[in-house]
Amino acid sequence: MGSVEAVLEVLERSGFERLPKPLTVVGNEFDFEAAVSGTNTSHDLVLVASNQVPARRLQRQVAGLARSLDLASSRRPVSLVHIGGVTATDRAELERYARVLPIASSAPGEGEVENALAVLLPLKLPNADLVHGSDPVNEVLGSLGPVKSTGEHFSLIRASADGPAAVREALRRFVNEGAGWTDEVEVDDA
Amino acid sequence: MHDLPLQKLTVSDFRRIEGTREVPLDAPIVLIHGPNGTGKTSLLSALELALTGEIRSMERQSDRYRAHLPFFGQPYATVRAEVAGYLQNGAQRGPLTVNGSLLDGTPAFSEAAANFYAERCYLDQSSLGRLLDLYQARLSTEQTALEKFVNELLGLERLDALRDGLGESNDLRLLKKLAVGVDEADRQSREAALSLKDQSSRLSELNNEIATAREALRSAIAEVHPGQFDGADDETLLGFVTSTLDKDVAAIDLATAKRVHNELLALGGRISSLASRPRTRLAQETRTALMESVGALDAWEASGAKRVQDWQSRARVLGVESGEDLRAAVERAIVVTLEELDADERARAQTESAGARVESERAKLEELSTRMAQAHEQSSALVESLAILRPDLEDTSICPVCDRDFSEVSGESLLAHIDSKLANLSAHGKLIADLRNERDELTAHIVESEIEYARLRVMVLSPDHLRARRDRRNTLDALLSEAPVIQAEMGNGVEIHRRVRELRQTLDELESVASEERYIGNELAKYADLLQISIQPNPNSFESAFASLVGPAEARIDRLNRDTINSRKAGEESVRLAAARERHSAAIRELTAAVKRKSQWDGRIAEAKRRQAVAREVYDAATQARATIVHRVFTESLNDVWKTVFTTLAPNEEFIPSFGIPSATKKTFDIKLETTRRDGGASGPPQMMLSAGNLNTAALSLFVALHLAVDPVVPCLVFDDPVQAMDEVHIAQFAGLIRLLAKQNGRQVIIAVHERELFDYLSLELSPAYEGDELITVELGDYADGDGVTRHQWTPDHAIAR
Repeated sequence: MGSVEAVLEVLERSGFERLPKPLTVVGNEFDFEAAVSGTNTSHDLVLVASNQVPARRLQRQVAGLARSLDLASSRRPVSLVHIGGVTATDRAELERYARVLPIASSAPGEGEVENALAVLLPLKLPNADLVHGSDPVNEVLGSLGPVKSTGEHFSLIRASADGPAAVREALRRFVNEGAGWTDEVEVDDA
Repeated sequence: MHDLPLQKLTVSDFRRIEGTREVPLDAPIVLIHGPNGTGKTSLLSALELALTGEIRSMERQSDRYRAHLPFFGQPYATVRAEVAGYLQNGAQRGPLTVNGSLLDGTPAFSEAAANFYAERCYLDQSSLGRLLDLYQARLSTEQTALEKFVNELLGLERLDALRDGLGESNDLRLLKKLAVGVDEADRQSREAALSLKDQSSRLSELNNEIATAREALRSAIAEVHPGQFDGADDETLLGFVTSTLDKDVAAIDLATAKRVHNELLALGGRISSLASRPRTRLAQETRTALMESVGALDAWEASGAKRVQDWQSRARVLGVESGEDLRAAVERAIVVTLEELDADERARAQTESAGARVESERAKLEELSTRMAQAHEQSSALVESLAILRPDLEDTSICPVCDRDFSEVSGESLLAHIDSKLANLSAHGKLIADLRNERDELTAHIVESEIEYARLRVMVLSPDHLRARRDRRNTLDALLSEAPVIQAEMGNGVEIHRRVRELRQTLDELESVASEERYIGNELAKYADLLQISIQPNPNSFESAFASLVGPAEARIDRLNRDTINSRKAGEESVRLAAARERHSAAIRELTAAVKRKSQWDGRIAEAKRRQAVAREVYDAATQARATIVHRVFTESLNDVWKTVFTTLAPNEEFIPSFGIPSATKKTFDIKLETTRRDGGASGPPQMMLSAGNLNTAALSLFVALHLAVDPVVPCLVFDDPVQAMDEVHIAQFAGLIRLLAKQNGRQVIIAVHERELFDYLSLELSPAYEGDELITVELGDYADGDGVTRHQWTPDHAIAR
């Protein structure tokens, strides 16, 4: 049952909690290998089954569960994690009652489990720092290194805050000044 | 639920929605169902319009789309959305009214929220199928939607500003265009180099010029002062020329020499004219002749002259003017005197005859007068008497006088007799009148004769006068006889006078010649002294002395002329040399300046290039930083999110869509979409590698991923029939994703679908999951029951035993 346990661990990590076995719905007991329920803002019911269970039996169990939930007017969404391969026909049959999240291998790795269960797991979103990065100016200074971080370099970088035209103007003045050019008066020919 | 971004939508007469419809949206999830044609899409379009003021998917089709917004036949449509306070566009309220020409009111969202909503929240039906293409479509040179997104996401504006602004530093030509000072410095440097070259060649030209001028000056000076300045330096030469030029000796000498020469020539003229004048040695003879002539003159004056004067005074008394010909003059006087004597004689004869004539006429008058008196006496007394008698005789023939009867005597009547007597007497009266006339004429004639007589008497000379005439005539005869002698005496006197005068003139002339000879002699001596030539001038050798002076004088002028020309030439050459030396030193100064200037400008160019290098370092660093950031964001962020979302939707898909990591050095990203295999290997673009269904999934997941990758300005997602091409499995996965987004990631979600089954399924899948959670379903068209809006509240679910 290692594979079922692996699935459960992934689910539990994501805020699901195990339901006692056997799963009891309005008094009816269903012998699934494992079942978990969402917490807080989730009320998903997730069933875990492996290919150890014959397909027909699994179908009956899932159908029965669905029927029981209907009887109880429960609007819980039901997902079935199926470990170890399922035929298309069997899967189609199962999907009449629940979302089927198949895991092809019998002993899946954590990645495979997470992929299969992705729809149940919180989305992995980047944190804001990562997206927006650090200050690009620091990045530039880092790239320049201490030797090249002179006042001249920095004055050009500073102009970038006001846009390309400001940088271009800073460059123009900077270079013109080096060439002995001043905008106000003609070049001193002396 | 008041912090949900969307609260309520009110729509009137908008596209397929007739009348007014209110749709509550204040739930985490709103599910809208409507078969095709029931206004499902219209509702979402109305929502976009109410929120943002425009409908972008329609705008892409036609910029006049607003004309089609009002329900058919209605003048305008109105939409109104209520949104969370923090997203509101100021203090808006009231609906947005719209038709083809009108858009009245303000959208519900602020501009930032509206933009975010249109780009990151609302996925319209028409865009979904083309999303990947839309994102990559490039309008001319602008960024694609993806590039724009990425740029905004990366916050690369400063780096791009830096790279953009420093772009010119990579190319010196471009940099020169930007910073004209560099170009100017370059130009100045080239100019300085050219100027340097010019000055160098000018310097060598000036050296040649100085050498030439110096040689010319030397030779000019040597002509005038040979050997004196051999080997002297420029300053000495120039100093010498300056000092001599100042005095201008040569010119003065030359003027003097010319004047001497001219004066000499004038003197030559005087010498020539001297040759034609009398010689002074004749002077003594002339003087002797003069003495003799003066003696002769004195003698004549004493005798001859007196005789002449005596004769002349006698002649003058007689009124004879003595001219050249004395004899003729006297003869003319004699003729006049003779004529006077003749005239007197004639006058005497005429006077005598005139006296006689007067006497005879007077006698004749006397006689006539007597006759007339007698005739007059007779006739007039008888006529009177007869006239008195006649009246008494008319009827009688008796004579009153004699009383006799007349008839006795004559047969005729007395009266007739009287009348005949009276007629006779009348004829006698006529005779008397004739006599009277004759007497009057004679009297007049006598008066004329007496006047003539008196006139003639006056013309007769008196005896004294007659005597004087006769004396004068005798005297004139005497003068006439003397005239030839006197005439000769006068001629003699004139001749003596003429000779004395001539001799005196000759003597004067001779004295003048002597004075001229002295003058010429002196002058010749003077010029000989001036020209330093030894001569002994005397009147006979004047010509040769003159000849011996003129030659040297001309030679002197020639020599001084040459000196003057050479001096002038030396002056000119010295000016040339001095000017060339001046220019030479100026050229050296300029050369120095040009060298200085060139090194100055070269230095500036070097500095400008150093600064260019600094700018390039910054540019390269910005490029490097950009690459770092881009790589980080794409690999560690965007692709991860997309992969997560895509995997959620399609867990079994072998190929995962991703962004090809763009070349970070370019300013604009050329973002390519590609796929990677689950094992990490790169593969082809999604359009090639994914099935149509999964391509849709890729697009949907990309939309969601982009929404999730940024700060959720408006935390909501609105989908219009997003699952049309999806199979059952994917629909289930999609429902799960929506649930995650709504319930775990805090996004308000609105989904419109057209399939009933799907609607039912989603209603179940998306049902409220916790206390306070809510689902609103909205049904349009025939399915609608009442207003078709159902609010599904959460109810505790006790179906599962724990």
